[in-house]
Amino acid sequence: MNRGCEFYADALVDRAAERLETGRSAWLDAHLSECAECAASLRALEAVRASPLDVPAGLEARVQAAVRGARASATAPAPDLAVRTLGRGPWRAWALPLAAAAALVGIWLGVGGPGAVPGNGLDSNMFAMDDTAPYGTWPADGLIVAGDPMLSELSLEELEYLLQELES
Amino acid sequence: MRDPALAGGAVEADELALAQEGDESALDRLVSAHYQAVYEVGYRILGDPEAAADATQETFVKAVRALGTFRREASLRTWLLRIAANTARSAGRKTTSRREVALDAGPVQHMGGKDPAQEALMRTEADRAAQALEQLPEKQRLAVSLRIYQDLSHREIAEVLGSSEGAARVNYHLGIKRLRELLA
Repeated sequence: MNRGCEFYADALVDRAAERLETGRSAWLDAHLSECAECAASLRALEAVRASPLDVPAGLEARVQAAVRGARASATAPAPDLAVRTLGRGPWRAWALPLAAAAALVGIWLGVGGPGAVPGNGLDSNMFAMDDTAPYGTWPADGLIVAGDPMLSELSLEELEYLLQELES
Repeated sequence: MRDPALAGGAVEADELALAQEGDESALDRLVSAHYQAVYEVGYRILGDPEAAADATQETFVKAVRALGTFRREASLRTWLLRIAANTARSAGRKTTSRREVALDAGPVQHMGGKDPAQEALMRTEADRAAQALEQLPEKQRLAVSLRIYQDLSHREIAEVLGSSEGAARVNYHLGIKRLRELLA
């Protein structure tokens, strides 16, 4: 593609999609008559345009059902985990102090401990674990994108990889 | 593929507000408006229809759970497609490498032709194009397919790819250049 051909790139896409207005159409045709590269690009675009993916039948309904299920589980009342996992014996009195201590250790490792990123006190990779993190916190190319905030779903190998990324 | 009823910003904002409140009909319409584009991203990364369908479902479940945190700094569409790209890449790492589809054209729609000879020719060209697209590197493949099939701008493609707009533009042009060579 010649340097000047960049001006025609969007028009080529619009022509392939059969939505180029009459005025721009004549302007593009004049260029195509003397530019073999853009003519070849148009042929490639038209060929690709003519072969869209066939989305599996039933996918829409399947996804809608999954979304409703996720929504329902998100709005269900949360179980009392301390009671369910520790019962009502003497352990229960230690549950909250233990959880708080574990959280403090976690915060120290993530922010102030080894591998912390100097600056704002937040490790930017913490956001990279969440695919739904807001814009501005997405990881750049090459950084880890674990894909799921639930660490319990990651394999040992993935956890080791994640740890290496956080410590690097 | 795009639902014109949801393409307008004001309409989308209203729909989004309803969806964030948990309105099931709005959530259904949100899925209807975007599931094909989400599937497209999943398929272009994973190269497998079943895996792409799973990634599509996972993308929407994640998105709905995080809908309350969506800050409208980008369009809902690019936000969803970004989640789709990350979800598909993550799924790809959990399984094996991307399925090789260069020799198997993959699932493409075929146009109904009137003349059998003409239809056969068009089908052959479409299959060749689908195979050529599959041979591009991932970012070029995504840039080209999102531009051609989903009508995304280079800025929107950049948001999906997690790159600069310039890089998205370069990936698109390199992809078209490679397609030209493969289809010559």
